[in-house]
Amino acid sequence: MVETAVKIDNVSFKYRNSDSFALRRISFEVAEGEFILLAGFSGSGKSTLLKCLNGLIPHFHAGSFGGNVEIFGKSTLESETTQLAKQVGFVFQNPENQISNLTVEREIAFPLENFGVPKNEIISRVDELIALLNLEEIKYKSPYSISGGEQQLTAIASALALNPPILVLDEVTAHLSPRSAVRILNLLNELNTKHKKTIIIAEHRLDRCLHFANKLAFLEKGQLKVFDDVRTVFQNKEFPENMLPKIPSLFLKLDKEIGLLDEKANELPLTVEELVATLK
Amino acid sequence: MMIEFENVSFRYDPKTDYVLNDITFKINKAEFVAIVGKNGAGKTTLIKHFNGLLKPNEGIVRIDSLDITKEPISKMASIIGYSFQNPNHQLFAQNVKKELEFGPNNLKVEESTRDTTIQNLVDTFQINHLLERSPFELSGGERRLVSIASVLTMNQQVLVLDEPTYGQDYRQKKRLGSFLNKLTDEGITVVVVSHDMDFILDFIPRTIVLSGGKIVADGETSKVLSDQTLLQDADLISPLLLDLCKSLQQIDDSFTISINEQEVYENILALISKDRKISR
Ligand SMILES: Nc1ncnc2c1ncn2[C@@H]1O[C@H](COP(=O)(O)OP(=O)(O)OP(=O)(O)O)[C@@H](O)[C@H]1O
Ligand SMILES: Nc1ncnc2c1ncn2[C@@H]1O[C@H](COP(=O)(O)OP(=O)(O)OP(=O)(O)O)[C@@H](O)[C@H]1O
Ligand SMILES: [Mg+2]
Ligand SMILES: [Mg+2]
Repeated sequence: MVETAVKIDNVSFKYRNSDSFALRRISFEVAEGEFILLAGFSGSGKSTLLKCLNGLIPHFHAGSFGGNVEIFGKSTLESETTQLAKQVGFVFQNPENQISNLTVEREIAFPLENFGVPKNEIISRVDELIALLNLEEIKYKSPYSISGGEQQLTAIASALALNPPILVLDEVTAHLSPRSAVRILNLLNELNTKHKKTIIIAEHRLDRCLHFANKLAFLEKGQLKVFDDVRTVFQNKEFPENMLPKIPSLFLKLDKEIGLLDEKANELPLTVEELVATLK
Repeated sequence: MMIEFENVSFRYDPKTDYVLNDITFKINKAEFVAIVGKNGAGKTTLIKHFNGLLKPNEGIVRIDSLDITKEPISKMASIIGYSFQNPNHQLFAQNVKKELEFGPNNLKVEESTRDTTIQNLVDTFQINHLLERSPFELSGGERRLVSIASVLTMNQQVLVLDEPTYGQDYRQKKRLGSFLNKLTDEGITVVVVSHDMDFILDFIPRTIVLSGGKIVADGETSKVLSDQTLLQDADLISPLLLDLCKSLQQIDDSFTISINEQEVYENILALISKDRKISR
């Protein structure tokens, strides 16, 4: 049986100083090895929800928290954030929020040093990550004097350092070039399919990752409006038409005009290849 | 106002390679131009030369006839609006309203003019509900938007925006794109650095590609962004619609290529109805 990696049970949260709830009674479960996309308008609560997964909420953010989040069966309320860091690799929306070290290399080594990993292991792990994310040219630079995209790649590398079973990434491709973004999304897909990592990401480039996601959670004003299989979500009226990725959007428009879904395809195409196949 | 780079070279450190290597180009008054290129290509470095945040090691940067390498940064503030890639480098006021008022106050703009401009921005971007909030207690996208708006308050003749659309949902992108289009109609020169190809295709007529410290392409956006070798050079990826059209052309060689969504939709409709006629 597949284990439940993340269980979000009736979670609500209101930031101190705020007069409305950023999250309202959210519940859903993520099985180990699933790939979940989180979508929603700006301000809908995506980052707030993600911060509940590594214990930043409620441990560090002041506010009122209700409900419960469990990571592999243990409530975040009962776990220390340092312990959670081993289970949940986390990348902030703003990469500068998590850099602190003298060099990119040290930045990636930092979580490993924190957990007392032996020195030789640290060295090989850091080298591996630097190669994986193409950071050779900047490894001796200060994380404050590199470009925005390079900072984001550095933050991803340090989140992967401890090899955690769950990865939670908040808009990590925002500063990446399109090709580099696809490279990272494909890397996540590989970590998911080959290494059974559970992946939960807020991502604007839905076009480039919807085909490897199992499910999509759509948030609106702090509420979970839809949580379902990606294809089902795109056909759900609650999901805003304008937020639809290009290919499904084009197909649904064509389908509405001339009817394709039963005649040519039995499911909604998500990629160029799938769409072309239905038009052949 | 016109911006002119003449043989500009720059490096951060005499021990390292040039980030900008003998760059020459011209942007005319009221143009809307995108600058693209891979992570670390030097886009941010380039635009920091527009207002003297960085001074070239060699070459000249001119705004109209003014050689800005000889001007103090403070003087440039009244001419050029600049938005940093990371909003944290820009925001500091106690609340959003004060943040928006800071620029115009600093330039001694008359209060009533200031208030009209701000009200217009608040309405355009629908950020009324954020005015009393601290800029540090906003979502990532909200913070980005406020940092952009706080630059737009000053009505300068030239606007330089570093990655303005990241973290924005499609509604905000559309508002921003149309707003900037309107400004160029009024004679303002707008330069945007971006990895957001959809935004560029939708709104920005001219695109400059930076690679290896040089400008490798400069021209009409739709042409530049569908040139495969250039795409490779700039770490870009071909737009999904272009991939789709190419695949469809292999099925039926009369299929016309376009990267405009509506046109592609119509072309596919035509393809299908032709197909159906034949099969009947
Ligand atoms: N303050 C700095 N000191 C030294 N090197 C720097 C500094 N800022 C940037 N660099 C280096 O200069 C090069 C160009 O950086 P720049 O920030 O201009 O890139 P960019 O094209 O804006 O990239 P991105 O798309 O990732 O934002 C990179 O290799 C970067 O590491
Ligand atoms: N530190 C904070 N204090 C008070 N309110 C906050 C804070 N951070 C976020 N908020 C508010 O909580 C709501 C949800 O914010 P959140 O950052 O979770 O949104 P988001 O979906 O991640 O948006 P974006 O796409 O812009 O990143 C927003 O209304 C935001 O203004
Ligand atoms: Mg967010
Ligand atoms: Mg940059």
